Amino acid sequence: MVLVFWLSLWLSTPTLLEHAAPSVLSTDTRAPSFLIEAIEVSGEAQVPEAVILSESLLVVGQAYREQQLRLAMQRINRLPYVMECRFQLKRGSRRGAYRLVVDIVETRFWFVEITSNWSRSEQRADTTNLDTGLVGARWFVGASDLLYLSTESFANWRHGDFDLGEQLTLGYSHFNLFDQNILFDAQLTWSDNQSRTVVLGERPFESENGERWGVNLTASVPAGQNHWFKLVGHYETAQNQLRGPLDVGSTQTLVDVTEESGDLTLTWEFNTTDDAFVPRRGQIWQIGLRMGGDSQDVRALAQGNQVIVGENDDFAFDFRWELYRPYWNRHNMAYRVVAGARRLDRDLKNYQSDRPTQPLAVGYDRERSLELTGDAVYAVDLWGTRRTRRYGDLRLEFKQRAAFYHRSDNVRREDAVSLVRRDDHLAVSTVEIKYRNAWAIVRLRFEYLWRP
Amino acid sequence: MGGWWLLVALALAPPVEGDPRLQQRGGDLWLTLSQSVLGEAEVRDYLDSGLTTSLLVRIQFRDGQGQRFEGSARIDLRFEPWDEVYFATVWDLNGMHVQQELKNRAALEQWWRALQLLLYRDKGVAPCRPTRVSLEVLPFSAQEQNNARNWVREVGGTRDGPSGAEGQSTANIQLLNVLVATSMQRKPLMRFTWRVSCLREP
Repeated sequence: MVLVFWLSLWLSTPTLLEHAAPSVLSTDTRAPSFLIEAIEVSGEAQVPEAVILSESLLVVGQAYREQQLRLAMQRINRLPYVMECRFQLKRGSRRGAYRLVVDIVETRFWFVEITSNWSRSEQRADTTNLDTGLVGARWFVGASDLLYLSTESFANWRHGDFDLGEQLTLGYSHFNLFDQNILFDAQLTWSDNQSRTVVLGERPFESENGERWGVNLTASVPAGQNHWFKLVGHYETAQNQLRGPLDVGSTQTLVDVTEESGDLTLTWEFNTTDDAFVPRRGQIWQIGLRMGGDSQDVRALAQGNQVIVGENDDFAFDFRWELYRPYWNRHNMAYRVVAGARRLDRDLKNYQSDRPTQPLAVGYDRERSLELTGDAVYAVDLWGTRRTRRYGDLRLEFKQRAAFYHRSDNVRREDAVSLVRRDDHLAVSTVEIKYRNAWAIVRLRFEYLWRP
Repeated sequence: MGGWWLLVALALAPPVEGDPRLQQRGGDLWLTLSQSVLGEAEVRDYLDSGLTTSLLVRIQFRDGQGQRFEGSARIDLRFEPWDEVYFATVWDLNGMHVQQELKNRAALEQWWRALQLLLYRDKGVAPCRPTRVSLEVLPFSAQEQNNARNWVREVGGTRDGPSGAEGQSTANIQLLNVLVATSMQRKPLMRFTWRVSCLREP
């Protein structure tokens, strides 16, 4: 055997290669396959073993090829609770069988996400700014159960606005529903003090003191190594006070409005990216169907005795494709196409409270819209060396977006129905710096909106 | 002025023990890899994981006219826990593909010390200039393994074919470029870089 070793060593040296045509000395044409008889998770402090195993989709007693193990590693890497995951194969109890050791480095149990967005457009001379800050924490409370809490704040420094604790989210996740590796997630959301514009009929209203409660339910069912079906149900209700240009003389009027909305979305997703935050290679395909509705009930109009009852039905089709390709060292390109088609059927009644059968005016009857967005992103990993990687990921991105929007509305006024069409296109150039470590994500983004 | 003296001193300093060594032999540039890489604790962890680890080696240099040249090679290593052996596969400009079985860690290190990679070939005399050497530790890729396997099959079938040694060599260089280019599409686990001088072999 020693002779064989030295012979093979000698054959690999350039002395021979300079004079010989390339040759194959010995080739292992078999793709190695590993029978996994046990899976051990190490390095976990808070993330339960069951969560890691559930996400890996690996089953003890089965044989896996190396690529399948790599895909399992990538799935674990995409978990928000995992900074890094490594696999190691060790000897099993009998020859040919292996123990798989899954070594993970967790993120911290608290998390901070800060995004500072600075925007300028060719139509407006000033620069707008919106900063969002999210602070939260998570606790694993069982073998496969997670509780999390987060609060979101907003700031617009240029206008001196700062809303602390604007939104609260309380969530619960279960990672292995029915022992089928199904992720179930329930969220309760609350938001307050949002000043926003609400369109009822054809008229805008300023909403004040809106208090909004929402429930989100998600079930994510794995359908293969990289396929998921995701079902999301969403319900939201709000009690708002509106101030707006209602037709009651010249007086600004406050009305109480009950808003309710809900939707159900079914999405198929295919994901082979190698990282959730800064993917370098891989693809994402998403196709979603959404069906929803909302209603607005404006009954307590002060002096006008008007009643506005609106009910909208919403149908949407969404498509998303992302491709990440590294091309040299730490440089990366990403391409993204997002398309959406939406139909909104409106049923809006506006009448005197004592004459409910005689509508006063009716606005849009049906809206159809089509959106198409394409992104090309060039990114460079600024901290790619082994000495700096331990401090986190730092990435600089340049993004060019082209967006097209088409809207076609059936507008009904009195008894006449007319078709109104509008097209718009937009380009957005963005420069963004992203940073992530075990407990924080920070984004600093500058964008310029223009119409080519 | 102190900075200039420091630069001159660094340029004249003998190569650090364990750094890669670049040698010119006529039109070829050969690289001997750094001895310290295999000793790095993190690299050991990757190598002993039982999964394939790829090492991508590249050189970059400029000739006297400032024109940039590049060369590359790839090494795949896998540790088999049951037999405690290492399998090594090498691609360089010689188009060599060797599935070597190295009996233990010491044999791996010995093989690594003796390994010389042909990274650049010139019809005349290869430029012998200060060169940037980089080594990236990459995760396994099944697609590249399939590419390599197909390539091995093709090489095995045509080595005695009508194309001859020169045509074979060109094909190997092209395929090596493909292999290296696809390797770059993976996120490196670790990266090492050196600045080395080129040694002329008489």
